[in-house]
Amino acid sequence: MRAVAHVAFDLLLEARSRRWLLVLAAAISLVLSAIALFLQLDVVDGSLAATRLFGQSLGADGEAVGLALRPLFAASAWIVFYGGISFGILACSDFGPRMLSPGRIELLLSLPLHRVELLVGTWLGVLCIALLGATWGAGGLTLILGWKTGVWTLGPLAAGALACLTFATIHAAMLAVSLWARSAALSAMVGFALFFAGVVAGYRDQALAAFQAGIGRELFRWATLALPRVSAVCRDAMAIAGSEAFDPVGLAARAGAMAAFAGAALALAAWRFEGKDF
Amino acid sequence: MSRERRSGRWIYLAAAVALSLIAAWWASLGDPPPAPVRNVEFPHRMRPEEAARAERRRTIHAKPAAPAAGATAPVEAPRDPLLRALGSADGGAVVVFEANALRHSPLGERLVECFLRSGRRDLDRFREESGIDPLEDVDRIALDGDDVLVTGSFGKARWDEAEGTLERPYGDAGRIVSVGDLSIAVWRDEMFVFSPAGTAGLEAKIDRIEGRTPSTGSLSEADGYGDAYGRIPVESLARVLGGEQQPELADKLREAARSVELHLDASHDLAITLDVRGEASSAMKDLEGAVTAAISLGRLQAKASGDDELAELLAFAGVRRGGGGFALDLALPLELLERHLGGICPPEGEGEPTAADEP
Repeated sequence: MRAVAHVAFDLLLEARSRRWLLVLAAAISLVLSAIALFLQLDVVDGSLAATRLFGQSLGADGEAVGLALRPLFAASAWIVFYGGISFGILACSDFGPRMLSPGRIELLLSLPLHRVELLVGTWLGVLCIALLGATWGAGGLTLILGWKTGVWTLGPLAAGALACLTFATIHAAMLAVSLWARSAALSAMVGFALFFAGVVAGYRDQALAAFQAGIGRELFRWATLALPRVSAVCRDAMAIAGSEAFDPVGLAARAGAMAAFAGAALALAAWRFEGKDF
Repeated sequence: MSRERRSGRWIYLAAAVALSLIAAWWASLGDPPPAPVRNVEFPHRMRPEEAARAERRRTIHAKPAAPAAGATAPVEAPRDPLLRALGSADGGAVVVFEANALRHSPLGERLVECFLRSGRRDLDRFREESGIDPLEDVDRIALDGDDVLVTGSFGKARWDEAEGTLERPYGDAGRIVSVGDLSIAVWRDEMFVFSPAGTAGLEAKIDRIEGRTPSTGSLSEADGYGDAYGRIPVESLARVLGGEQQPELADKLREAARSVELHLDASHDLAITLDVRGEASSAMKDLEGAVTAAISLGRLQAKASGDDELAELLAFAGVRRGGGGFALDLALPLELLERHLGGICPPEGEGEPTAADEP
C-alpha cells in the first residue's frame, strides 16, 4: 500500500510541472475570484434584497436566499461535472503512455514495486489531481456563497466528488488502453468516446424508446448495459447541489456500478501489464 | 518475464470479467424500471379463420360474356358480392368495416354499452319500424367513395311499409326501393346500397354485382383480412401524415407511393397497418427512412416534453419493409382507449350516485 502511495505521490509531483494542470488551477481560481469580487448578494432577513453580477441584476430579488441559490448551485455542479471531466480527459491522457515510455518503464520496473502497484498508483495519483481540482472549485464556490449569503451547504462538494468518481472510471479505461497502444491521442479518444457513450447510457430508457423492437434495440440494450451512467450521475449531482429530491438508492447503484467498472478496467490493464515484456 | 507471474495474471482477467458483470448488474439496478413489454398483433396477413370467412362469402358467379366463335369463355371464380360491387369511379377511398366483428370486439362492446345508456329507446323504435336490428343483423359496412353498402341479414326488413314507397325489381335479384327523394338498392335481402348518384348509381352497383359490368377489382378476397380493410388515396394519407408540420414528408409520399392499403384489427388493442406500395426506387427508400425518422423523433420529443401518452402510443409504432414498399404499424392500446372512454362514459356502476351521496 505504501508503494502505491509513493507512486501516486510521485505522479502528483510530476503534475506540478504540467502546463495543462496549471492552466486548470488558474482557470478555477480566476472564476472563483470573479464570483467573489463581482457577485453582489444583499441578504435581508433570509431573503435576497438585491443580486448583481458585473453590475447587472440577476432578477432573483425578494426570493428566500436558500431557494434563490438552488439553480446557481445546480448550474455550478453541471459545470464542475462536465467541464471537469472533459478537461481531466485532455489533461491526464498522457500519464499512462508517459509511464510506459522507453527508459522510464525500465527504471520503474527496476524498483522494488509490483506492476499492479505501479498501475494502481498511477490511477490513484490522477484521481488525487481530480479530487484536488474539484475540491478547489466546488469548495471555493461553497465558501464564497456561504460567506456572501450565510447559506452553507455541502452540495457542491458532493457534486464534485461524484464528478471525480466518474472521471476515475473513465481514466481507468484510458489507462488500460494505453497498455495496448502507447498513445496519448488514442487514450484521450477512448476517454471521450466512453464519456459520450456514458452520457447516452444515462438516457438509456429514453433512447431505447426511440428504437423499434428488433435486433438494433437489443444490441443497444446489451452494449450499454455495463457502461457508466454519466448523465444520470450528473443529474444526481445537480439535484444534490441544488438541494432537490433525488433517488439515493439509484445513485448508490450507479456509483457502485462505476466503481466496479473502474475495477474491471484496472484488472484488465493489470492482466495486460503482467503479460507484457519491456 | 517470470513463468510464475505469467501464470498468475489470469486471475486479473477473471476479476475483470466478474467486475464487468457486477457493473452491469448494479447499473441496471439504478436504471428506471423498463416500460412493460406488450405485443400488439398487427394484421399483416390473412389468418386461417379469415381465409375461411372469405371462402364462405364467395357466393356469386359472374355471368360469362358470350364467347367469340371457337373460343371458350373464361370462367371466373365465385366472388364475394360486396367486394365485386366495390370500386368508385372517382378513385376515392374504399374501406370495408366488419361491423359485426367490431361490435363484438372489447372496444365495440364498451361503445355499444355506452350508446345504449341513452339510446336504447331510439334503437328499439328503429328495430320495430324497420325490422332490422343494427346490433345483430348488420355484417359489414363498406364506404365506396360517396356510396355506402351494408351487408347482413335483412329478411325481416320492412322496406315497403312506409307510406308512398315505390319498389321495382332490377336485374336477377335486385330491387330499387324509393321513398320520396331517397332511393336504395336491395339485393337478395342481404345487401342494401345508398348512393348520392340516385337510381343510376344503384342500378350500376347491381349490374356490377350480377356480372353485367366488369368488376374494377379495387379489393379482392385476398385483401379481406382484419376487422376493417381497404384502400385509401395516397393524397388522403399525405394530408394526415404530413400536414402543415411536415410538408416534406407529404411530398415524398406523393412522389413515391402508388397505393395505400389499410388493415385494422380490434380483437384486443386497436392495431392498424398501412401498407404503402410503390415502385422500388430510391424515392421509396427515402420515404421509408423519413417515416421511420419521424416516428423516432416523435417518440423522443414526446419523452422529452413529458407527453407520456403520446410516447406510449408511438412506442408501438414501427415500419416494416416489404416487397415493393413498407408497412407502417400504429396501435392504440385497449387500456388507453378505455381510459379515454371512461372519461366520457364511465363503466356501469362507476360515477353513479350511491346511497351515501343522497342528501
